[in-house]
Amino acid sequence: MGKYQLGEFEEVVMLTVAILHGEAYGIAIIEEIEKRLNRGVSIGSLQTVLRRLEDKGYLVSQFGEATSVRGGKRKRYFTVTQSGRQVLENTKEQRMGLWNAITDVSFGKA
Amino acid sequence: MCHLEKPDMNQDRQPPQLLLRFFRWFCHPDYVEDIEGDLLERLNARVEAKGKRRANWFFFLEVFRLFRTQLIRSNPLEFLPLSKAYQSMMLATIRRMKREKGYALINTLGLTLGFTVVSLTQLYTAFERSYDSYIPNNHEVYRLEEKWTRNGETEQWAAIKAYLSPAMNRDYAGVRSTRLFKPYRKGMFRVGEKIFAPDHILYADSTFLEVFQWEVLVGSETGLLSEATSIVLTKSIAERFFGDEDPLGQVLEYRNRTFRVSGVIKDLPKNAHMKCEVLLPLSFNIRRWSERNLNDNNLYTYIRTGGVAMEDLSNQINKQLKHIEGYQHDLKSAGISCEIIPVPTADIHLEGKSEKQLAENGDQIAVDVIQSIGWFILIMSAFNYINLATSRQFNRSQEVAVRKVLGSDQLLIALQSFMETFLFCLLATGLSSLLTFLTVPYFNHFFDLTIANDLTGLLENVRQISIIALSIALISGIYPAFKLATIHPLRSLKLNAFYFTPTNKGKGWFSMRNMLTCIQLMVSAFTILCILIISKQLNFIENKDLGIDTNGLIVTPVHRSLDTEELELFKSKLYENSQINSASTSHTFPGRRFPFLTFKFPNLNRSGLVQPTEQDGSIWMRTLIGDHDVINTFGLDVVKGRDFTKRYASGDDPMEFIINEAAAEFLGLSDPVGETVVFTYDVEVPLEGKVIGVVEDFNYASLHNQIEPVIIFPSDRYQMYLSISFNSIQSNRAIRHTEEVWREQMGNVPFRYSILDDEFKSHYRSESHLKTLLSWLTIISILIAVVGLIGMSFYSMEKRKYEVGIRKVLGASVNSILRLNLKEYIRLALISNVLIIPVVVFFGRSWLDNFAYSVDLDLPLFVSGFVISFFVVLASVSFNVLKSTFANPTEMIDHR
Repeated sequence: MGKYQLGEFEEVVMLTVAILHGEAYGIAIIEEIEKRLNRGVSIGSLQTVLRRLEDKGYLVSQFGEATSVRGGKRKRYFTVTQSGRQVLENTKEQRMGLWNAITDVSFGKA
Repeated sequence: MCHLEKPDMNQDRQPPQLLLRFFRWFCHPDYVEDIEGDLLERLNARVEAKGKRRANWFFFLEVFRLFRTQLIRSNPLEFLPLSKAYQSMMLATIRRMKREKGYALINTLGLTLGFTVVSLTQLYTAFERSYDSYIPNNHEVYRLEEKWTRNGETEQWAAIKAYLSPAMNRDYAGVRSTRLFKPYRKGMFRVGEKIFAPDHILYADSTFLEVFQWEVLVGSETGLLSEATSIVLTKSIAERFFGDEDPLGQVLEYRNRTFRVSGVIKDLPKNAHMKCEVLLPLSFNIRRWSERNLNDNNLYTYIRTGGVAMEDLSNQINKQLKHIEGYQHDLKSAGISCEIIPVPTADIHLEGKSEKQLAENGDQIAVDVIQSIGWFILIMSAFNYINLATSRQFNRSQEVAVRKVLGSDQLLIALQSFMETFLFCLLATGLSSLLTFLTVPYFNHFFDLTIANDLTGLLENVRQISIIALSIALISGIYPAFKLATIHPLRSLKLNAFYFTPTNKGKGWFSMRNMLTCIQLMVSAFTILCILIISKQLNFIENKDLGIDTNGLIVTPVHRSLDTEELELFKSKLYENSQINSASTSHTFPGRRFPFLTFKFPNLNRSGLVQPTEQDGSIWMRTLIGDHDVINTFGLDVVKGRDFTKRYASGDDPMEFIINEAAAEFLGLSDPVGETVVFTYDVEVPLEGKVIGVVEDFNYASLHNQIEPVIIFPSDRYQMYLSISFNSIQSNRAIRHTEEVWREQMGNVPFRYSILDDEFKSHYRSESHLKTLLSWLTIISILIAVVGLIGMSFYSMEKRKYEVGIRKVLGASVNSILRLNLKEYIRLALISNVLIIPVVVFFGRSWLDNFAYSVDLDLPLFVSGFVISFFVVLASVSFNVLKSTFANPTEMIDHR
């Protein structure tokens, strides 16, 4: 069994959850991504990824307090688990390893 | 502006409830709360930023993007509002379907085929039966036909004399009537510089709209044809004539007279028994008719009863008839009577058999046969389902036994099996709707129909048929369901075999299954025999010597009369091409109706051989008026006397007549040459002449009709068509040559010809439809029977597994086992073929009665039908039978 490779969107979502630190629920994550990365995200695609990451054990979730803004529905807050942090760091290391292997010549710098 | 942007919070923040309910329905219950919260929060934010409408649109998109496999309920059964017990049963059914894919496929396909066949045949027959239903209140509209009895023989005419309609309008208040006339010669319409030749022209009384109530698109509803110079067009012909211009008030020229468009009506649908593109006032034409013509059966008279009972009305008309002009003198003669018969317009297409129909009609028997075969195929597929379902229940015996041990009662088990039927039917209905939907355009194109051209009509049809099909199929689920429920739990568990509670013991070989299979085989034997009969008859028609040579003959309408010199010049130019054999003008041509005209036979009258039916001593005879080349052009054989000489009869010369053999017999003459004939139809001075020859009998109409006496003579008064006989019809150069000569002589009148063979074939339109449809139905019915037989052979071989195994152990030969195994099927095939014979004979006879000349239903036909179904049976059971025959006996007897 090889190690699980995070997809690009999965990585973005996990990082955003980490940034929000305890305040990460659906809409907050979407707004954060839209603000920082300037890309549109639908609730459907985000929720799919969140559930998948939760299944893998990289995220955990718990319900928060009910508020009137959301028609009395509770928010579900996500936090990154230890193994989630592990996989994020692995990903980062892989990327850095790749970056370090690039010489200036590769990009055609004269 | 400010007050506009301040929305009412309670009102505007309301999310679209339907979408929300949809979301709550499909979303996984664990996720529903927080995602719904997210959705609402997003919606609120968007309402403030972008307004309610755009926010709602985004909400819609978001909800649909949430419809993903990861987020919807994991168990599809939870979507259904069912209790847990039913959910478990459903699950078991779905799992079974998944496990036995082949069985599920065969069953679904069988039912789908059955449903689709029924939908298509129903659509077809419904279309054939829907003729003239487009006329509002069409049950009030009748065509008045004349039924003549002359010396014991009756004939009915679709067209009648001119006087009845005016008399009706005068005498019967509330009853509306109108007369239609179909001109023999298609005229040309000149619009500016352009010339058009529409195919379907009718002359009508100005009251036509009161009777038919056709939809008027342009112009006033009343008095569209009240002036002698008005003309009414259908929408499509108006577009052809005038393009995008407003047609109302446009001027066009027809037969050297000017007409003004007074209205445009909707195109008549394809299921109208009459074809009409242009309507001209009858008054324009009727004035030109002589007294004689008014007496002829030329006018199609339609009435709208307006609520009066038709029976009373026709009694009154028939009582009054002898006082109505035109009907008076005939009725005085002895042995001749006339009656007016009202025919409902809706019946004309399928039942109209009278002389001189407005267009080719359909065939009631063909429609009945196709409809019943459609239903029989549905029943076949239902039987198939019963057979297959019961045979596959082997695999369920243990499951059912366990359920029973755990306390299920029979009803619940039956219900479960029933649910399976329901699922299969649902699937098949869906598939067949799709299939029908996809095939209807081809079907329409192929049979030149417009069945269910619009989506809503089609959907309505599919819905109705689905309901019927579904209920039939569900009924067929009853038997296997209750059969299964009678399983004996203990023995089934112990023996790992299908073991029924012994209530249906001792039924012998003619069990329920055998009966069902037998009926299936009967249906396929029926379709096989039907197709054999029809092919035989159509082959017979194609190969029958018609007595004329239609090969290489083309016909073109002549739109204006040519005088003798013009015609001679025309013909001599045609003959410059060596491919052209002969050409002749004529009044009609073989393949079209030969009209009845009047002749007098003075000598025969005197000797009493001919009973005159008219006051002046004339009789009516079918007539072909041509020029002196007419015999040669149509390839008729002169058997006595001689052909016409190369000249036209003018007033001074004696006329020349040629009659056919049937006429000679009718006149009672063994040697008619030299007999005096007087032509009395529509002439000031009767034209006298002699019979100069006799031609062999030839089929001038379709083989539906007997050959009648025909008299032929040349005259330049009735040039309607020009027929040209080629050495070979493929001779493009000769046709091009003809076209050139035509242009030289006729100016810019377009040259449009038809091939005579096609004219003949058009008589057999409904027969060839029947043949194609039946071929498909036969294939499908055989297919369904094959599937059923495979299922049945599997079942019975499984049941006899031990028997065959023991026989083999005891030394039975492969041959004897094969015989034993096949005996049952051969017996079934034989029985079903014998039982179906009376039905086939009944339908076959009544269909063949349509033809005056038909094939016999002989023994070889039934034998070949039997051989075909025998081989079908053999081929479909052989796999299972052979498998069982050659299997290793130890495997067969061994049961774990």
